[in-house]
Amino acid sequence: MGLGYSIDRYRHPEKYPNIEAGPTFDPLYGFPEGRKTKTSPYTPEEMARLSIPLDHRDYCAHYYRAIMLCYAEYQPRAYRYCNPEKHAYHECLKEDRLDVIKEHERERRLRLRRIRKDEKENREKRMVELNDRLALENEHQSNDI
Amino acid sequence: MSVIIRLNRSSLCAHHTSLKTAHRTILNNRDWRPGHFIPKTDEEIAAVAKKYNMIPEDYKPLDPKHSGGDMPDITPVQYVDRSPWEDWDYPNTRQHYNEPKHRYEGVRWDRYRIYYDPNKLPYKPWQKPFLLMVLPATFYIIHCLFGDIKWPYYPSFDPQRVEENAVHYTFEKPTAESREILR
Repeated sequence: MGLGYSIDRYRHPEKYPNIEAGPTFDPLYGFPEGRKTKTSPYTPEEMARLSIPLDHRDYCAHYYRAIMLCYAEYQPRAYRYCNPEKHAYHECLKEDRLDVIKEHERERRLRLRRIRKDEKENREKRMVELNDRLALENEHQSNDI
Repeated sequence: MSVIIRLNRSSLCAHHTSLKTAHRTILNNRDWRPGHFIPKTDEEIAAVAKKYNMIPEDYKPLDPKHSGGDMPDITPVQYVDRSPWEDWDYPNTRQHYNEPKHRYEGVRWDRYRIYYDPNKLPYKPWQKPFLLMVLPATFYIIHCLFGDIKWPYYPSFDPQRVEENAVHYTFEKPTAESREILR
């Protein structure tokens, strides 16, 4: 993301997704068959009971729980014992993160599409107005003659 | 035996709690040991100057506070201040054979200690505390001020958290199981 991207994002905020606001379009728009929902391994109450940190209460919480248990098992020499668990957790995080990036891209493309549609409508409206005005002027001229 | 050695050792060692091994060797060597008394008459001065390979006009005795006996007071010349075009006996150190030396002259790894001149230093005197204290302090202050800012991570939204009444979708077609969960 270069400086040109940042400047363009600042000058045309309607073109780019707002990260604080999140996705604004209907999540099922453009999916006639619907979309598969993400299933969380634990409910929020279960996560609170298992004392999973707030930053890790996502769709890979069961992998994080495995790391916690592994660390508890092998302390104080847990270094490298829990690498398989860590690897699985990071793979899960990657896939989980990819969906969010795809959401961002979908939001960006839908915004550009909305802008294009608005421009097309406005152009048609303007053409109609222009034709009306020209017709009126022609009428006036013919009356003067 | 140890008593004899201790008696034979120079009294010059008495005032120095920690001397370098080379200095100790020189002072304990009978041939290299300096005389105990500062020369007064011209004859004595000529003899001592010849001993130190100098001309009598150049010879100046060391201050008695250094307890150096009749050793000459030599103004040290820095390595960088010696002419590189002269025909030195030791071009590596730019020194002559049997040249009278200052006691810190041989410290090659700390050449700036001899004839310390702040105008010849590669940095200004105020630059060292600036580099040591002010720059780290500024970095620390910047870190304290802007360290906790949550920078946006493009191209992505905030990570999805499992909360109540929050539904997140993948980009795959729904299966029978996921439809059941929705119901």
